[in-house]
Amino acid sequence: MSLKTILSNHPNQPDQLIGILLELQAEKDRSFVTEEEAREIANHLGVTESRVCAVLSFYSFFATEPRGKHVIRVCKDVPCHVVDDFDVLKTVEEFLGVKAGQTTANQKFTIETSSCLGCCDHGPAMRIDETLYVDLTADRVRAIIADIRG
Amino acid sequence: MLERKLVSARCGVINPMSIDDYLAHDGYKSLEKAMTLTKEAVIAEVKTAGLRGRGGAGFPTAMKMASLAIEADPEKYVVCNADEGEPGNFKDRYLLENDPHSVLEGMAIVGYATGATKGYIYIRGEYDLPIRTMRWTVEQAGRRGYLGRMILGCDFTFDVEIRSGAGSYVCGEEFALIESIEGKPGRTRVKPPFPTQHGIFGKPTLISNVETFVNIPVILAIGGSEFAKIGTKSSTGTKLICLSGNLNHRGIFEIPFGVPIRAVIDELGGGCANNRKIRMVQLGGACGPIIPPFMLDMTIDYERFEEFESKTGAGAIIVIDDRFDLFKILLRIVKFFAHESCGKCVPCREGNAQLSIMLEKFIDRRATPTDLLSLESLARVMHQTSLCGLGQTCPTSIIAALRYFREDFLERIEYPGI
Repeated sequence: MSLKTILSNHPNQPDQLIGILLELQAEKDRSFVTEEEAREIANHLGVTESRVCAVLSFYSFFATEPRGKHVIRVCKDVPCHVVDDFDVLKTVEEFLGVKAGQTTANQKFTIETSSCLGCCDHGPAMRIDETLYVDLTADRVRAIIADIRG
Repeated sequence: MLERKLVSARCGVINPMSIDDYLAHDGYKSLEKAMTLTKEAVIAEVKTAGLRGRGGAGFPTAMKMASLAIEADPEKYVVCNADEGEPGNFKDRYLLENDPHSVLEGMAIVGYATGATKGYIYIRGEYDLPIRTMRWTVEQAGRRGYLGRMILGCDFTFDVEIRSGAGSYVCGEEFALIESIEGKPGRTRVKPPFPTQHGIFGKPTLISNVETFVNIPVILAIGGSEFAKIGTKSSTGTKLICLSGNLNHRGIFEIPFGVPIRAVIDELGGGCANNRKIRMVQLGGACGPIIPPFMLDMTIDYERFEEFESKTGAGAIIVIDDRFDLFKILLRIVKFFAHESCGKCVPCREGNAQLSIMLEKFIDRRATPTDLLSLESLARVMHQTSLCGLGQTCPTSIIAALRYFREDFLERIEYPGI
């Protein structure tokens, strides 16, 4: 779906901004928003570009630099931390050879850390794109990523 | 049996994607009943029940409803706060995924009683399944005439729209949530005016937690006075408790208020995992106090929690065993808040950065007696002067630790020249 189609699906109101940005990022392979797109959205909704930029920088889901095709978000809060006997983040980093905040050379994966994912009874947990993975073990983490990598 | 299932009675019993299944389990009967009553009578029923908000702050729900009802503006909003970002909490996810129609039913009853015609459910962006479930549920309810125009053939219009968050904890704070629904960064506002006077788009708005809304149909079904008999005098009804951390059985449990924490941990949680010892327990979530095992006989109710100067009734119990260092846990919590602070007010924005520097000194055993005093003073200042609930409650774990784990702090202090 192009940005134009997304914009036409929403009423022309400033409160639609976050929803539009979420849909746009989900449509894109590298889940980020360009300066041109930000300008087009601002013009369409009748808000300033700085408002769009403020929203982009405030919410952690949004990015203005290209990310990998898949974004891996590892929970780092206390309920997951205390049941994480093998270090999920380190396992992911070692398996992909990049650190949190970085993207693999083939642009396939970006690793990020995440605030609580709300599945503390099945921690440790991570979320890849829109899928939640719980009750993780080191082997499972590697198998999940290998499976997505194909 | 400690458990008492009222708000979660249908969870795991019905197919959440089927409105027919919901109707077969007395679904929407409370809405029908409410609409035979006057608006005032519905609010009176909630008042008799003594229902207090289940999102953490514990504000009396009937009072909120009455404040919205007296506003003359024809455009009013009811907002369900499903931005459940507090670490250790997953009860709202449980309700949204397992009994989604009950959330809508509760919102519609509040809409009817207050004269609001539009509702929003603001669900955090991380909750992919709840968002999908609620979108489908709203569509189904609309098709069957439980939402929309002329609900149940009466002169009552109520629509619900689902809004997704985009990764921000502070948007669970009511004014940050309002800003976010308006399409802005989630930065809080100075109050008063309160949302019931000046909320979304400047219109009167009532904001309550998911669990609070699910309690409303229960109250209508069993009656306010029956509801008030459950729990304790100051905390009526039941509470969904989220057990997490180093326990044999983690999960969601519904208990009447007044049960001791230790009973919940031992009987429902099966005690500490791997035969280890409990070192500390965090209550409510990241914004809640950390207490030592000897305090676990305290009961779960609003009054007891208020002793910590923090309103932490959200329902998380995070058990941490003796492998973990108190200061490293505190640092992890402070870093969480440093990342999630909206940056609008100084005490919260700068305070969390400073707290983490001080805690690192305690971790490295570089702290001086002055650091202990500074830590104590800064935590107090943040609690007293921050603009919103995030800043006011983020030092709670430190304030509680300073009180109940004082020896641990003293033991880490380097005395110069000795």
